[in-house]
Amino acid sequence: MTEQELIIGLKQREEDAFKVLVETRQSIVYNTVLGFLQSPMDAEDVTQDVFIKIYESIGQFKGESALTTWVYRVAVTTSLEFLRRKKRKKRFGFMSPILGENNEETIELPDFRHPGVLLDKREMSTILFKAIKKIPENQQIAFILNKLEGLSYQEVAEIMKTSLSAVESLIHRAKTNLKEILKNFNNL
Amino acid sequence: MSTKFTPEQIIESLEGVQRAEPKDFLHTRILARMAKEETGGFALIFRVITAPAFSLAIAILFILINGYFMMKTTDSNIDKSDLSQGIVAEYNQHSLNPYELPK
Repeated sequence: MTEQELIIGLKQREEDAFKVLVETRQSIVYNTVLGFLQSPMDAEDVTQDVFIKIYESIGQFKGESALTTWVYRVAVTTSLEFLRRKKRKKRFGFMSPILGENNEETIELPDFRHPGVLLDKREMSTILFKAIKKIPENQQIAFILNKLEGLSYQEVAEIMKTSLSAVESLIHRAKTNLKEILKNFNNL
Repeated sequence: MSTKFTPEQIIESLEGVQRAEPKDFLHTRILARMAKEETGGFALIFRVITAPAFSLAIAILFILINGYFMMKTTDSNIDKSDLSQGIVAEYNQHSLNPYELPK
């Protein structure tokens, strides 16, 4: 199935097209989401959210970028929305009995270990993921897409709808900030 | 945390990382969730209207509407008395005593 056929199939709500989309893009979506959320359980849920969102809003996809670029965009925005919601929930947790919300876990998760990291680098990557949480959002996006997803600066720029030089600058600043944070990583 | 790593080493620790994979049967799980969400519309409405915050908001709205109408009624009463006083003043009725001859 070509990308064009896939898009047409998705727009016509064909189940086979949706199945192809999930099977061919599930690892990129899950890996990206996991990079932001740093929790396999949350990442599973948000990955499902991403595909449901894509299925529901495929009509808005105008084909100005590649389908995969758009999928990445949805994955990034959905992850960030989830994190903001979680932060808000944590901040206003005392109001959950009034709002009638379930008392979902807001406890701190244990240190995150990405399953794809080489064994000898696991300890370092755990420290890195902790530090990533402390840098600004747009730097996080650029860094995760480039370092965890292995995308080129050009691809990151397309996903972030920005220029190549802006991505270069973001990654440079991300590294500088990370170095600064990691100097004191005993406190992380 | 250990201090045996330099910041540069840590930043480069994602070198050679493999993509993480979700659990099996993701497509099936998504379809099941979509089906559940389709039938769960009423459950969502029920959850919203039974939330204490919703009841509280309705109560506050009720009080505000009541307050507004009470204020409006009081205002119109004041307006009416103003009007009658105006008429009295215009016709100089306040000083007229039917048992007293005009000077």
